[in-house]
Amino acid sequence: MEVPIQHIIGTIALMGLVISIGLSYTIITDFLQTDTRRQQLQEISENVALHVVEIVNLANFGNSGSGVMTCTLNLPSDVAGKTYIVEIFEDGTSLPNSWYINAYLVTNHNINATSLIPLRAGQSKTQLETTSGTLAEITYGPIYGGGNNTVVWAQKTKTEETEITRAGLGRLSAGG
Amino acid sequence: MDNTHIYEYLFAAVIAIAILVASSVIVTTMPSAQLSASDKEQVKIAAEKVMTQVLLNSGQPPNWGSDTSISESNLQDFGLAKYHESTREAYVLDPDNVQRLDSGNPLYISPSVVAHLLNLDATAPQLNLANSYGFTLDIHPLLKVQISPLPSDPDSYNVTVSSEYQALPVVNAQVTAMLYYPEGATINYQTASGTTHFNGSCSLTFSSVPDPGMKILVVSAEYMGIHTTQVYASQSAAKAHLFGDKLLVDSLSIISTTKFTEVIATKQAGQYVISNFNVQGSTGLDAPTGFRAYTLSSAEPSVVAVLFLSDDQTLYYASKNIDATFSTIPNLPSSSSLLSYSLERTAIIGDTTCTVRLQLWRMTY
Repeated sequence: MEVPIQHIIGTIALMGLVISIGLSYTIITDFLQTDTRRQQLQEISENVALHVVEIVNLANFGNSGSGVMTCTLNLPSDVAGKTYIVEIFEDGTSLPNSWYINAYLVTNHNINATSLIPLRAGQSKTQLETTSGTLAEITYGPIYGGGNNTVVWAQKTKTEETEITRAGLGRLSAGG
Repeated sequence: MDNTHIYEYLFAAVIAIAILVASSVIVTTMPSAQLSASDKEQVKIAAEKVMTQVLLNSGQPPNWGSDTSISESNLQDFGLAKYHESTREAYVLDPDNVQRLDSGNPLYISPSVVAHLLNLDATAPQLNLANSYGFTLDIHPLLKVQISPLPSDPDSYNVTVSSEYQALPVVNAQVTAMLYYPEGATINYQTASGTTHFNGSCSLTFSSVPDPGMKILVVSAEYMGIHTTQVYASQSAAKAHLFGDKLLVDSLSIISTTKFTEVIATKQAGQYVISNFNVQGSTGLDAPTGFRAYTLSSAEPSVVAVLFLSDDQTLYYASKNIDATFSTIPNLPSSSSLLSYSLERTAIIGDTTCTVRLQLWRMTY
């Protein structure tokens, strides 16, 4: 019976090796896929940040009370098959007075990317909306990637003392 | 079992491990080109973002360039665009903002402060934000004007007009010049004009002046609608600084005059003409340490230079230097291995057409 036992041990060891190799391969590809997804999210957040900067400056060129400006965002429908969210965030602790665009996967918030907006929060005459709400035909707040009618918007308004430009991300309502 | 079976198992294990290693190498190598392209694309978009913000935003406060009470410690937002209450034009920059990038300016804004105001120095690993950026901002007039007195005749000047790109000579550029010099207690002037030859040069000759060491030459050059002005000062002339309607003069200088001469270049009948007029000035407040401020009764937005005489008859001039190289890493070689991206825009500063070139690079990976 000596021979079959050695065969069984050898076969089990080989099967274990194959399984561990399969696991290792999965871990490596998963790590690489995470890196690639993060890069794609980074590109998306950089693009959205650029659109925000452009529309804020465009709105500043106009007169106050001239309505809401919008620019349609053509975002990819998913990132490697996963749905993602893009939002404007203001962080008071790690980056005081900074706004940035944050893009992350719905299923895993740890796979995210951040892009700074070159505007100083609380010091310039610009206010980026980080919360949700409605304005004219726009529902503003975080946007799901790939949704229809996603826009960046800006509006220049004048109070009694100062002019302020509000801007944010949002979605145009149907027919808007 | 003989030993050959053990070798078979070992061989199978080696094959399996070899397959893992080979496939891992292939899998890790394949996306590296795509990731590298993505990195470059991100730097490109970041450069466009920064360029848009710098050239279309006027900063905060909007008149920060001409306000001598604004320094790098209390500037709130950075931008070079010219601010108007009502209408604004894209890519029209404020010369007062631009001259703050000149390291010789007493109210110089350092690149590190600008990088901070543009959020380029921010890193927050906990937010997956690890990219801080460095930059070089080059601003140069499209027409480069070089002025040098002729060694054989100190009353004649050689003016060379070349392109900013590769310094190619500009032929048939229209050159108009006005020479200012003190005569008694007043500032007198002479005019001359010419057209550049095949080598981009022309000579301008003036009559002799009382003090050859005390002269200011203002030159206007135009070629196919592109215009630039240049101020040349002789050795004995003293420099002051102009911010909006305020003149900053070395506090050791004694200046009792209230008469200041503004020099402007205006287009008349399709041609640029240099002219001047006198304005009143009075001692003002808000002067940085080491300077005394004088407030002009009015300052033309397109003023090229302001001239005045001190009590000891020294000719002072103040002009705005809009030719600047502004960098977080001075003298960075263009062949640097940093992951960087350059882009270029044409902008109008005062009445001068300029090239604005931004090179942005990643400081961290």
